[in-house]
Amino acid sequence: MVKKSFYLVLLIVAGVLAYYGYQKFFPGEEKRVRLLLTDLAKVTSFSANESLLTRLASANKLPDFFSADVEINVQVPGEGSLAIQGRDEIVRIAGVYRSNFNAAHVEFLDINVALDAEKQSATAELTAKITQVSQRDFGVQELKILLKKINGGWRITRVDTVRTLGS
Amino acid sequence: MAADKPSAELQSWWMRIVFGRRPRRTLVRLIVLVVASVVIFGFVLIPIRIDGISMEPTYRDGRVNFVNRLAYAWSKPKRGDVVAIKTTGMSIMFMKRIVGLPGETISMEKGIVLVNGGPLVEPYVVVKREPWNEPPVRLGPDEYLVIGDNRATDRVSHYHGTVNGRKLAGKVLW
Repeated sequence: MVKKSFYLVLLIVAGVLAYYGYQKFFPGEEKRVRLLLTDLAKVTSFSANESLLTRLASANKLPDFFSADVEINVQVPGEGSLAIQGRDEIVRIAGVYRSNFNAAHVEFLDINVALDAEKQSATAELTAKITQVSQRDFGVQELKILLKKINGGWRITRVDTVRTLGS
Repeated sequence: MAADKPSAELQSWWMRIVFGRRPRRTLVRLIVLVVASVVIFGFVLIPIRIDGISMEPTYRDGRVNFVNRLAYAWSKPKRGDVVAIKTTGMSIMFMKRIVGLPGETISMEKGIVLVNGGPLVEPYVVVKREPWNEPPVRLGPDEYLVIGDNRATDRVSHYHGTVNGRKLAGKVLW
């Protein structure tokens, strides 16, 4: 009886491990979109004592997240709306953003992903939280992100601010 | 042997303090407490920490409160209610006061909120009001107009506006 229940527990543990292992090594499309967005938040975050090499590595990684013709329309608190077109422009703006602030921590919270039937495009809705590390204040914005599968990988094609409160 | 006796007594005394006279019953109580806490604080009363000054002086920056998610399960939101507004989830919510209800026309003239053309009495606005002006907005069937209590700030930097009823996470408890 004891032996039987031991094997049963072992089987359940093995099943759970196999499930998590499969999810980890063969993530579904939704999971891949989430991972891309989480990685983007990491790449756009930076610390004050970051080395030049790390800074360059992040700058080089940034274009990989976007399609060549990406369009970004976001609201910048205190600055109004900001429209960016193309990957090169993103890298340039990211450079300006890094030089203007000492350190920043970007988080994408409550990510909701909807895939189309063919799993070739996706819409992600999330809440972006940007904290300037030197200050306690943080900025919050709801974003709607459109993604397409290009050459087997997910790329961001459009980003828009969604106003939580209407005018 | 004699030296062991006080230690055993001490152990049983501690065991009684920690697990009670009936450890099985204590375990059941503990499980009930944990399950109740998870259900209450995960789904019914959501703990929040207030960040920012837009609801001052009613709600101070850094204070802790709760959002009652069942507040609007059987009744509609009322004018004057302080509500939490969801973003894409509930990790970050906006805390505002309802000043306009569905179907009403709301405007602002020199900082005074006008509901269908008449001034709204707002005893919670105790600091000096900036002379905000907003054009009339007619609210939809499930639309509310929300503003913070602190009207001493610049109109542009004070986030306010209309919100759909489905975005209301609940009512702030106190």
